[in-house]
Amino acid sequence: MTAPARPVECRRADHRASRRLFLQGAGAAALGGFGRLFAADNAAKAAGQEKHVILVFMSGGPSQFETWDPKTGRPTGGPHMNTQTTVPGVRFDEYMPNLARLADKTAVIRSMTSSLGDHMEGHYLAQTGHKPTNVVATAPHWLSVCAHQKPAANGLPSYVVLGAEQGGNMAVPGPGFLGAGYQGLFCPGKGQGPEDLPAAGAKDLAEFQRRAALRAKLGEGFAAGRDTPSAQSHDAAFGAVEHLLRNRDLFDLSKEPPKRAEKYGPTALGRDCLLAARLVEKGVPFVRVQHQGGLAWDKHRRAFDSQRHLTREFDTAVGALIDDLRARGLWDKTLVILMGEFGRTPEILGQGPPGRNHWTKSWSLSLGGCGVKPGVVVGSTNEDGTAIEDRPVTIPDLFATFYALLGIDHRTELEFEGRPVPLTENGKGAPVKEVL
Amino acid sequence: MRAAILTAALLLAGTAPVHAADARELSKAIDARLAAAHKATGAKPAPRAEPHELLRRIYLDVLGRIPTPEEATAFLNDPSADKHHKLIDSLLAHPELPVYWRGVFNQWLNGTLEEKRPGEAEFLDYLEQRLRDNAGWDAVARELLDPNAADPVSAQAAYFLTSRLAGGDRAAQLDSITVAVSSSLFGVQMQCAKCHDHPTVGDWKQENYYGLAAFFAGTYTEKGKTNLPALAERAPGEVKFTGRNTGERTARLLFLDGKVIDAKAGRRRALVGAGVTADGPYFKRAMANRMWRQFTGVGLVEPVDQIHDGNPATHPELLNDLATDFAQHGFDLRRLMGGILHSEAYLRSSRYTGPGPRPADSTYTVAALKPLSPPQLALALAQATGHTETLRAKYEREKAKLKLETVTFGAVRKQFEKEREHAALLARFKQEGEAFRASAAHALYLTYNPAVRAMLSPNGLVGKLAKQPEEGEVARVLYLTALSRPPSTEEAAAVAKHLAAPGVAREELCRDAVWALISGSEFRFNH
Repeated sequence: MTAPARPVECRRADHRASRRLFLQGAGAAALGGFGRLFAADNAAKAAGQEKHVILVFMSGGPSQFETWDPKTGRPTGGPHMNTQTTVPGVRFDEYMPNLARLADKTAVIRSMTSSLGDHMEGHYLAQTGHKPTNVVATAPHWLSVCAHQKPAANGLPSYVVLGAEQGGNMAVPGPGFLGAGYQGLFCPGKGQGPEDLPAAGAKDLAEFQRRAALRAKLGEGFAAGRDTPSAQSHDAAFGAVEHLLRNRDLFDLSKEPPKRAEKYGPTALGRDCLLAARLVEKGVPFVRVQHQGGLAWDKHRRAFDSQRHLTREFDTAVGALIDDLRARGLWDKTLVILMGEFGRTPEILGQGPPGRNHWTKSWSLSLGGCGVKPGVVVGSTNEDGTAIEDRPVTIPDLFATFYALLGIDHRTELEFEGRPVPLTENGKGAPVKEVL
Repeated sequence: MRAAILTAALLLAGTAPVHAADARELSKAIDARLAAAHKATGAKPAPRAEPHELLRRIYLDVLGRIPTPEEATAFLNDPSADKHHKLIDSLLAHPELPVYWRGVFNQWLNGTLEEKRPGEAEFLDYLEQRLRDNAGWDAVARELLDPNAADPVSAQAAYFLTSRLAGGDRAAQLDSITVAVSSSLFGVQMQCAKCHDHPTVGDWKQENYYGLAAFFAGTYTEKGKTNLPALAERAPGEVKFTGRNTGERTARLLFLDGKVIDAKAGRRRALVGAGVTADGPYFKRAMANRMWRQFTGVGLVEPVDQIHDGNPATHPELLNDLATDFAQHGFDLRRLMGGILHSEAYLRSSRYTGPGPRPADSTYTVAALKPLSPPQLALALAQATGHTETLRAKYEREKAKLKLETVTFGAVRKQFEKEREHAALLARFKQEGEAFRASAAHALYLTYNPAVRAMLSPNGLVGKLAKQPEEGEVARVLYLTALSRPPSTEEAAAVAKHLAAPGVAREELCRDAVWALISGSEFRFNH
């Protein structure tokens, strides 16, 4: 009989001696108040520094062997060849020519190590920094945390989600205890704008304004004496709709010259990467891009053939994205992250067409821009890629690094129900200095 | 099957009908406690809410929906001064109460499950049946922890535990059960004590967490008599844990109060014996506080599952009164509900007219604005737009296929819960955070989502209003259907003015008017 799982996280649920005192201190703001106060403070802070994140998520768990850490010729290497990158001595998979060309502009971590080998749990861990629990407080997606810490200026959405894994269990982690206000604005993918936002047309705006005027008029009687933060937030959400209607061209890819769009490739990912670049250029701080639904990178079988196509479209789209950001002077303030939830086994398995299973012990990812030191390779695995040889990087380390690059201290504590919740699990982790 | 249900109902103790007068004793006690608190702080409580406000509030809180136009008219036309008290009593006996509250209880018990597991539909049936029986909360808790597999209704309660035994490794399963049981039945979270002795609650040592886990050390699932997973109790191994300085230890069967329990009759049964009692503080307080929060919007202790000395109640005597009364009356849920609902504290206005800033909700001086829960919002939207009438006609046509005898409103709402649009709305409006916070996605949904657009089609209220030749009648029907009240003169004039806008089709203008109400704060909140 095993003991119950070791603490997922000591939530320090009650470490604060008296929550009541704290609440009383906040006075009339009480329950509804904290988030608002923080958001207002943060909005002031955010005006000064403008940094962006584009997270391209490779759901399913990309193989490190077929991306950033090839072991060509070794028993674990698989049939793919590799290619020399622009960093001497560093080779990538043969189907990543653009990322190989950009290797001296980006960084790679070859020594990621984590613990949850289930898609759902891994997905959660790799995007919240916390292990999933059944506890009341659901951890927010780290980009929701960013939206909370560094909200957009000028009424733009702080965080936009382009595409998602299909199916409920693999849904992109939401805003958790931060609440719906920090939910990424969802766009269904393939370069489309927000769900339920009507396509461009002057009629919609006129119609909305006509209705909204009546809404405001008929709401007056109720609002008197009930001007609470909750009611304000409800009204503000409709203000945001009007803002989106006015700024629909934010999401309108038909405004992009075909020449620019072509470089991203004729794929759903290409469209979304182009949209991500457009959003960042227009001032949206945080964007998550999903690379295909259905756990595309989850190559248990028939891996090596289909992998070529997947890797190629990925390389084309993100290569164009990085080139584009560089050409437009956005690279220095935009953190681009290319990662999945874990890696894949050194063993090549499967009956019939072979593939690789889930592997959390040693995997790879790439990041660049926003001050990431270019051309760096952090850590290494052994000859066959069965273990990390040096410099393991944990999930808390990774998140500490992301936050550090954005000027956020990862030891910052958020409030949930009067208890402090650190940004990384138990406030652990240290930024990976090699890339800073 | 029917006979079995009946037998089960008869076997349950404490199913006497609620006597309305009894619950009022509790209401008086509540008001006395709060009056004393307000006197001490010099707070001036808000007056009683307007009748139409009480009408909507009571329907939403007791049945989880807004009143139909007919129900609203009957209430508003009733001249008696105590009509809201009569309404509370009649809704507490309403056949839709169990249909609504099964969802509330399921959310309390299983809201943190990350995915639905086999047996959820049957678990809802179970809750509905027990609510219909007016089973005591102690009897329900006993079945949640130790269901009677031989009784087909009771066996469905196993879902509370089997749903947590369905995924993850054994250690994670035990953790999930320990957390669910301590949080939802006993109102405490002990995650801190998992890794070290509790820092601020002197009584809770690491041993307490593992002591509670040990009650489930022998609990596994097996294939049940039906297709549903059932619970099995095997000879348990021991739960071991490692303290910071103490090395590995074996957990004793330890209840939260520190008593070491003897478990000859089975570990889970022993937990029932130790915890589900009228004497111990945990079980009765947890439900008293949750129910209070459900109706007033703010728990006497927040969060509701952190009731301990380090986090005292805002009004400790009041919590004690509620818990004691609940336990002394057979854990009668309807009595507890009635006691709170009949109190002046519950009936207060949510409007604050000063002086100074609005007092905190936790002072219970002014009624809180409670955002409609996602299921309340889904149903209220369907009602306010006339969509429930469309659904009723549809289900009437499909009566045979749906195996419905008569298409009552209760049947409509149950069937509506199975529609895809219902699930979509719940997913979009899921509220996890502490404070209510609307997002642009919510507003976009309420404005442009195809499901909402369909509700605003000419088949529903919009069409009915567009065909109404008399201007005054448009505003009257609109307000009665969507907001359960007549419009003020000013509001009726504003609607009439809008309908007179040139160059826009009347149907469009009527759609604007329905949308303006369902998107407003008066609709979004229970106030």
